[in-house]
Amino acid sequence: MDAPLRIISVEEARRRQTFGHFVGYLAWLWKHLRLVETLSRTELKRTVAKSKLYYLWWMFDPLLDTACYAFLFLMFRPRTGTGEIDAPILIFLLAGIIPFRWTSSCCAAAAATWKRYANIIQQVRFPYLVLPGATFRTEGWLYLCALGVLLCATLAYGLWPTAAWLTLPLWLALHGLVTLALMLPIAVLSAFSSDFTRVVPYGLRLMFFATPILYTGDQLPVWARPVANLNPLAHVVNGYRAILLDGVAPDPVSATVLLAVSLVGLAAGAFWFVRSEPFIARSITRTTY
Amino acid sequence: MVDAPSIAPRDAVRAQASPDALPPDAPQPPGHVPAEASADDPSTSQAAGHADPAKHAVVSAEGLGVRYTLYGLGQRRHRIELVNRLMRQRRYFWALRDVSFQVNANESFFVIGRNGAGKSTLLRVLADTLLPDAGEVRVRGNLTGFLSMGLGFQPDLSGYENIALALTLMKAPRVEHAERIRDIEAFTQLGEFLKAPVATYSAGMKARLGFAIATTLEPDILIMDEIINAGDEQFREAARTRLQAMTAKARGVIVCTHNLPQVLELAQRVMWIEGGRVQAIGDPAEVVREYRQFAKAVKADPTHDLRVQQERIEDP
Repeated sequence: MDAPLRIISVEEARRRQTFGHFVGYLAWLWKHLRLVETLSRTELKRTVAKSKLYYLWWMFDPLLDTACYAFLFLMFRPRTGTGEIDAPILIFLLAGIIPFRWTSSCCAAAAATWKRYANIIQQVRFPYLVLPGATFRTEGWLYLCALGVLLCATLAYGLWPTAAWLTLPLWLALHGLVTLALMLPIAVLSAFSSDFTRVVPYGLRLMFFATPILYTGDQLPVWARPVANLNPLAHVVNGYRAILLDGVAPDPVSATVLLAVSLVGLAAGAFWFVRSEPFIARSITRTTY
Repeated sequence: MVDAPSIAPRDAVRAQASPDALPPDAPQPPGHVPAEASADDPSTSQAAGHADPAKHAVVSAEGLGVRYTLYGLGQRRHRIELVNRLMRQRRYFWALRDVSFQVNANESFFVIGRNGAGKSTLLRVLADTLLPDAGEVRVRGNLTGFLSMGLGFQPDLSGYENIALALTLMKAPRVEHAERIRDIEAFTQLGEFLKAPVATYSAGMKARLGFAIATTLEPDILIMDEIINAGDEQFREAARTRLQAMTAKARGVIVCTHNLPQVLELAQRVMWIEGGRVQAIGDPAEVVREYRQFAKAVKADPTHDLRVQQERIEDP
């Protein structure tokens, strides 16, 4: 019989943790890219499957979210050390909330990935890395819709496009890299610890308040500013605000550091994810056995 | 033959008597004789006559063992799991232990056993979604995964959308999708219902759709879990015909089921698993008769299951 022979054994688990396997895995993943698209499409449909307004929710969600914060903001209008924030408040808020929403939704979905796809994982072998990939794509589409709302609002406030707007796609790509780099370790840890899965929403909430979304970085105490600089999302939000509110390109030094850190984080996260993959199905099985 | 509930299954007794016997967590040596080789089964005997019987099988398992970590059980229930883990006091449950068998081409191989016997774990190992803790499985040929009725479906999506998802998961070439969908439409006869969410389907409709998806790609080895139990007589007849056609095309079919009349009708060989161990492999009529005797005897002994369960637990 000339059919390929596959050996499934204890040794195979060890082999699947080597760097050589990781390289081969990336090629295998490449062949499954269509699965990312299919899963993402099904996820998108599922998000609106039972609602009457269907895809309109993709725009309503960020708007309603912003409306809630805008209400709070207007009630308790924050002041900077030098005076009030001079940018239109709505744009200021949207430029923080909408990008943060993408990252936080991706991270929350990464933590829930295994529960959602447990039945498929137990039946068919495929590179599990497509699962966070599909989530990233799904949330990315929703983010693009929300970003459209943000751009329309920016124009409506009379903040006309400048040359800096040309850097927006690059900033978007960098933001995507940061998000993916955060998603992978969250997905791995969630597979092995349901305690961690419970912590994720609190961590994201903390991250929301630790990121200058409802305030500017200048409003932080001096001692807290170096710590805040360690938060990659702070740089991401500042970059969006620089482009849309100030009409200038984001700080290149900050962008370069963010890019380097994200790439290293993404590579390390992917390697860890692939190394953990042989044990993920088992970990999920224990809860369903 | 099992006339009364036995605490130690037959193969366990055989393994203890054998000088080759190893602890279940140790990898089996290359010369380890599978339980199947000693079973009174013509096809096995024929295969055993070759220098390497596994070479002529589409699936061969040797000394297979799978254990799961037990959570929240044991004498120290009050202790949180983290402490157990730090003190390396985790307990294990052997879902499969020293399982050896082989499935030949053109063969429909059925696996029977009571709930919790380890059938689904076995299928997961064969589908390569779960790696074993002992022994090995050799799979010769392509395998699209295994199908359990209703599982894998996304209930909010329509039948068509689930078909597209399943075909992509099973790596069906995109150019073949239209043809496969036509085949599935013809087999399921669900018509307009394929546009409706799967959540609205009856068990029989899900079974039809699941079976049609699993068999449309005609993998070298088809693995199914309880898939043809649901559905009406017309569906079961169509499923039978399709299964027979698949085995005729030099493909191996492995089915886990509780449906014994179906086993007698469709199986060429049967493996009975109890307590994670192989109890018998061979002629369907013979194995099913043994299994029925065993099931009857177990009914009369209410403590049997607890004893077997305790035997499968490995304490630190």
